[in-house]
Amino acid sequence: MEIDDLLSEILLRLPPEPSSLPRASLVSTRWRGLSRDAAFLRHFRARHRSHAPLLGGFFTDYPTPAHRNNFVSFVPTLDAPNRVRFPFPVADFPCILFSCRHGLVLAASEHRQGFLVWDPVTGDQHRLEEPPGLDAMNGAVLRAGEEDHFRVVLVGHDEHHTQALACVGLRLLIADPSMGQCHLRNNSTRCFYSDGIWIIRLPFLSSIWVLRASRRYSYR
Amino acid sequence: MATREAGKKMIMLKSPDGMEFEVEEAVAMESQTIRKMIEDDCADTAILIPNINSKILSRVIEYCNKHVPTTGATGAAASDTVAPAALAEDLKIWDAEFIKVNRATRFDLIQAASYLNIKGLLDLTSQTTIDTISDNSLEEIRSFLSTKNDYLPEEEQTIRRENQWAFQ
Repeated sequence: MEIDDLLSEILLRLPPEPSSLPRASLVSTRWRGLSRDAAFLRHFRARHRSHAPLLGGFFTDYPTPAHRNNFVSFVPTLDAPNRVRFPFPVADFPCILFSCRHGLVLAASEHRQGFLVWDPVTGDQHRLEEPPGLDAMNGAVLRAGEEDHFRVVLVGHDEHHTQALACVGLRLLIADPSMGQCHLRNNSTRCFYSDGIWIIRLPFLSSIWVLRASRRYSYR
Repeated sequence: MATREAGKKMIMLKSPDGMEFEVEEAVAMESQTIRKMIEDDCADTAILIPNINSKILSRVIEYCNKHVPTTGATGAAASDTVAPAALAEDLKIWDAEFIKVNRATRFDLIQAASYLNIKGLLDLTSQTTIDTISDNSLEEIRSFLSTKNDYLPEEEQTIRRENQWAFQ
């Protein structure tokens, strides 16, 4: 029989370790084609979502005598051949880590002049500028709806540190970079809703809740 | 449709090589493909199963017989009940024995499970295949699956270089 017809059924059951598909792709060009096929990868991810291994963690490295700036680094947890590394893509970007969610990293430059949304797997990077009048203290990134969209939420003070502000940026990744950002600002309320996201600010910004659809995300 | 025992509806399955298998409707409906035919009223006196010979079809029926939910009567409600742990363990042992077949038979079973849309059997046969090959070398995998290496040597080197970490 033609095993090729059922190849995707078989390959879907490869273990979810990062080296699985790259290794399998060396068997033949057909295997390689399948291991890079968008529909196959969607099924593969869906199948393994609940027991995908933890690849590692991103950390902010605070200044040491040798390095006077903050940088973000990745510490892998798996052994070879699954010991993947995600070197931070920008060398001259002293920054701190704001958020990691849905396969995206949000880092803020040390003095908050800019923000970087980075997909460590694909390498895609998007720079965001700080919204006028907002001195961002924290933020979150999440994929919104379709896979190539993301949202950035920033919270902070106004320039005089008299008011707490929150800001939601919507940005289109890859598909339409020209769409850019839109900012929705609210100067005084503790809670607001926009585009399917609720942001609830608790007193003194000690905790922020972000709620989307029926799922709840939180960060401190 | 024939009726053997009271309350148990029977279905006739025919293989292309002319063999006929009389099975309980509930057993046949382990196959989502057959279930749909029955529900759409396309199942007359017998259902012809194309491309699946009698040897493979009898194994598939054997699998469905074992896996048809035993609690309750027939139909969708029974298949939703969760089997107790002991029963699940028993099924696992039975599955492990069932899948001890040669390579060609296993591929035939994968194809049959895919066509007949029997999720459990597809999982069992595909997973066993992956488990068999996952620790093997590339050459062994190719030979096991009768796949030709159609890479140019330079192409293969490029792919290895691009994903060097995965081959350490």
